[in-house]
Amino acid sequence: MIETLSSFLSSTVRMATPLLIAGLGLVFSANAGIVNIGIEGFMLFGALMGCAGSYWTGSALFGALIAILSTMLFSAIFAYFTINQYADQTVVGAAINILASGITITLNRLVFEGKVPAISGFESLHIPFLEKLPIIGILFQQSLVCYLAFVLVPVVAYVMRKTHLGLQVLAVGENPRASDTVGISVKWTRWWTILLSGALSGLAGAFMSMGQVRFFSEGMISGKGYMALAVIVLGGYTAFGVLWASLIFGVGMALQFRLQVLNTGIPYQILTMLPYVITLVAVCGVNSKTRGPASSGEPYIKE
Amino acid sequence: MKKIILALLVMSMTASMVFAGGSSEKSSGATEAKPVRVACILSGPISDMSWNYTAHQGMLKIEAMGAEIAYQENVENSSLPDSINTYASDGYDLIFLSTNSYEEAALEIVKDYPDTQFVIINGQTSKDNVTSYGVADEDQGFMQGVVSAALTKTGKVGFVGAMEITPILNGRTGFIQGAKYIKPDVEVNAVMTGSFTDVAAAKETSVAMIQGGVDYIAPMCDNAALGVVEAAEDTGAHAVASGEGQNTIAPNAVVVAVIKDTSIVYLQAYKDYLAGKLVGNTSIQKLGVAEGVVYLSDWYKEAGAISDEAKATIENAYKALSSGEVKVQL
Amino acid sequence: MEDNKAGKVRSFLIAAYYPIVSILASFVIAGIIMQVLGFSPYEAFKGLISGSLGNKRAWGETLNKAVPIALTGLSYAIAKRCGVINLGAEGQVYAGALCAVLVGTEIDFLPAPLHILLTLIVAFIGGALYGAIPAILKNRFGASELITTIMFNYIALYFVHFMIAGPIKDYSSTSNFAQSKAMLVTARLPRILPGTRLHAGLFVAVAALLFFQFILFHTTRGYEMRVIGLNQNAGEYAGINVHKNRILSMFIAGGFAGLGGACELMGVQLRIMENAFNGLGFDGIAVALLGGNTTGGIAASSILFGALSSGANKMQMKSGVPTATVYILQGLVILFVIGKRLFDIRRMKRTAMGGAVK
Repeated sequence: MIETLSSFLSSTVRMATPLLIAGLGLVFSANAGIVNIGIEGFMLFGALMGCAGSYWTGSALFGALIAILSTMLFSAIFAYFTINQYADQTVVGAAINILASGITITLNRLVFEGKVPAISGFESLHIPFLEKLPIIGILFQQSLVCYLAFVLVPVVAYVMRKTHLGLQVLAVGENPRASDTVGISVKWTRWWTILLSGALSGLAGAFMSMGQVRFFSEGMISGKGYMALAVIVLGGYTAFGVLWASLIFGVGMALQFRLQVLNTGIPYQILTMLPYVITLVAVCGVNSKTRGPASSGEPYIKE
Repeated sequence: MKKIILALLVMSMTASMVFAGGSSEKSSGATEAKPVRVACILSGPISDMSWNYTAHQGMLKIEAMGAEIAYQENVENSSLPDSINTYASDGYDLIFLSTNSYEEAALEIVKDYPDTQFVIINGQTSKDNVTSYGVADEDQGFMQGVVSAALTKTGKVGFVGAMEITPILNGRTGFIQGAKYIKPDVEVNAVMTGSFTDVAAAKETSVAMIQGGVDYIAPMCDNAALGVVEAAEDTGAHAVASGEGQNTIAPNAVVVAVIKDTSIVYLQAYKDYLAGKLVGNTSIQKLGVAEGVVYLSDWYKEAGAISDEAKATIENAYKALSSGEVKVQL
Repeated sequence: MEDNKAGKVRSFLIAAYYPIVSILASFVIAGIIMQVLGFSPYEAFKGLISGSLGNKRAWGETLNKAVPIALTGLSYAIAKRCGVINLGAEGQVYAGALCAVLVGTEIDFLPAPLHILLTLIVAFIGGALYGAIPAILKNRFGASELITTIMFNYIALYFVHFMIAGPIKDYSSTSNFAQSKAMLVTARLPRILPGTRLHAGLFVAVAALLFFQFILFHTTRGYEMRVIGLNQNAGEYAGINVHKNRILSMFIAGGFAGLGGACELMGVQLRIMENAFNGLGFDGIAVALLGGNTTGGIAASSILFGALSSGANKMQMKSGVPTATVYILQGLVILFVIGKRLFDIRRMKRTAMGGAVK
């Protein structure tokens, strides 16, 4: 029983981590007024680049760095078109997803030549003493990236609420014109929030291809980017909100996997709906009406 | 909006101007011995290390025999007629359809191209210019079940499939019968994950299964199989892989792979075509263990030594299956 | 007289400048990528263009592909006009198709015209009801439609998978595949152009486009929706019932998407299989946005998308370029058509001169 519980916890954390990382990046860009459905594409790109990087360098750390940097570069396409060319964010996001799917499949064939090589993934890092705790001990046997994600939560929350930088982001999202008048550069703020969210989505993708599993497989993000988008809205655009929202989804996934194995007689198609139904119920149960920043999705044209 | 219309106009004008002249090039060179032109329409990507991968390997073997080949990946049922029309009207001699889900859509069109030979892999129809070849998915499942049951210490073995489609359902049936053939009291846990691509889901499901006591696990879910064998690697359990190359990511877990090499089916069909055997053929050949389509890889040593006794048990089951002494009851 | 003619040519060239340059630019970049990968860009583009617009049959395929995405495009557009972001066309397509398949396979006594009409109506209602749920949840609980529509996509998809693997599975089929029964002949959309597969779904799409134009710009309801879409507070202040209009817009949006699923089902696929309609909803979003949520824009951009995807098939066939590379081209086309200001020569000149003056 204890073993089942702790494996359930571990599974929850593993499934929640990529959503958490990508969601934390979205805390910045979404609050600056960016609606980015291209997150799915960013994560896919990061997943491939992480694996490729680890394959080339033999080091998971370098793999992660390559994933972060290259996805950041990739996200510059999104930033350039939405900010400098005033293009609609949703349509650029859609284009990014199509592009990423094309680029990753093409590169996958070139880099790995149709094989699935063993690469070094994120090793689990055991924290002394804490790992011995009953049941929750397993939470302290995760990978570095996983801890990093959780540590980032209070950091991001602090930056957004207490620092000048965070307040600028909120101001830009709420009223770009007014922010511009008081001397905040709307363009620059949106640029760096997108790049940051690109970097974090790259890491989230890399966690999926190097932490959850240790290989890249075409189309492996399977909608987790859209889930990250749901997580940010469900979490009310705050870091701690994103944390519990991704945990809810993680619980849903972990529960589904275990119910599958129990052979309950419930058709698997119904079980696979579970995480989505749970999220749906959670969204409706949230009393505070979650509302995005006022300028969500609007390009800002300086006069 | 006007602009897009204009762009379309321009595109179509360019199309008709530039490429109208292109068709005249083909008339030359008819005197030389023309290579046989073979096309293949695939339902998935050739990089799936499984069904479509071995199909592509088969096409390469056909190319090595001197044929001119072409293929198209990820063709959905809705665009199948379009694909068939394009290849057939372009004069391809032999067209492979890689899955039985194409069958019904294809049968309506093939009549329009009586001079083209069609081969449906796992199809149910052989008449006129259509010949079906079956692949014994159940043989693969059977051997996976045999290996798992012969080696299990906990008495529990697991099967992870992707979706409830015919090949995988047959594989599951084979797995259960193979396991029971070795140990009638073995406990079999068989699940479907609902996806061919969601590797993380396949992995987590497998982990849950292994924690439930399963110590030998077998995947049959294309791409997602990698998630299954990795789950075994991470938890110290063992896996019976469904294709070559899966052991590289799980060297300590994969004891052996039961390979279903459909490339042999493609090659066989091509040879039969060259020999003129496909014309007027109304039978459906099913290729499995006996024909060398399904076979065991070498034992992967990293995953630990296997007793000679267990090897002998597996070997005997393999022989019994290939000689027809035992058969999977579908 | 001649001046007039020259003027027309001139204005045509000006109007055609952006789209041509945008598309050319994406072709050039994709061509470079293909060259690097070792494929012949010439062969590839020859396949792409001749496969989409090269002859009558190709045009038929292009239009057939355009029909469902025009409808899902309308689905996104009508909701967007009322200030609702509908990412749920994907699921609404499945809901519509599921209803259509029930009517199209189980009712066997109607003559073709009636049967087709009934199937379409039921698909519309099915999609519409499914589409209305997120609007109701938003009204009742304040649940953001951004999330709920995505969740409903997955729920619809897996529910349809469940249905075709059990309750409505075609057990008579020899292949034992998880699929519904085939639509009865009386519920199939007829072909409308000999020598092509072009089906009567085209008329459905055109009718839906006209309906969209009519309801938005020629009815009070449409006016109210547009006011809410432009500024919800202003709408409330003017006494417009936001909740009611939101439900109505999502009802129609779902209906359009449902029709999209029905047309694809009744004209092309003829039965539901796993993942059969994946991507139609998201293509629709791109089409709607590319077309600026306007009637004509959606019509034109759906044809552009139809051409790209039908040509893509032939591109791989002819040149061996992986389908994946086609996605790169599709992505680039959207980016450049949307970011057309990139090619504004006058602006470039200004920038260059400004730099020089400094």
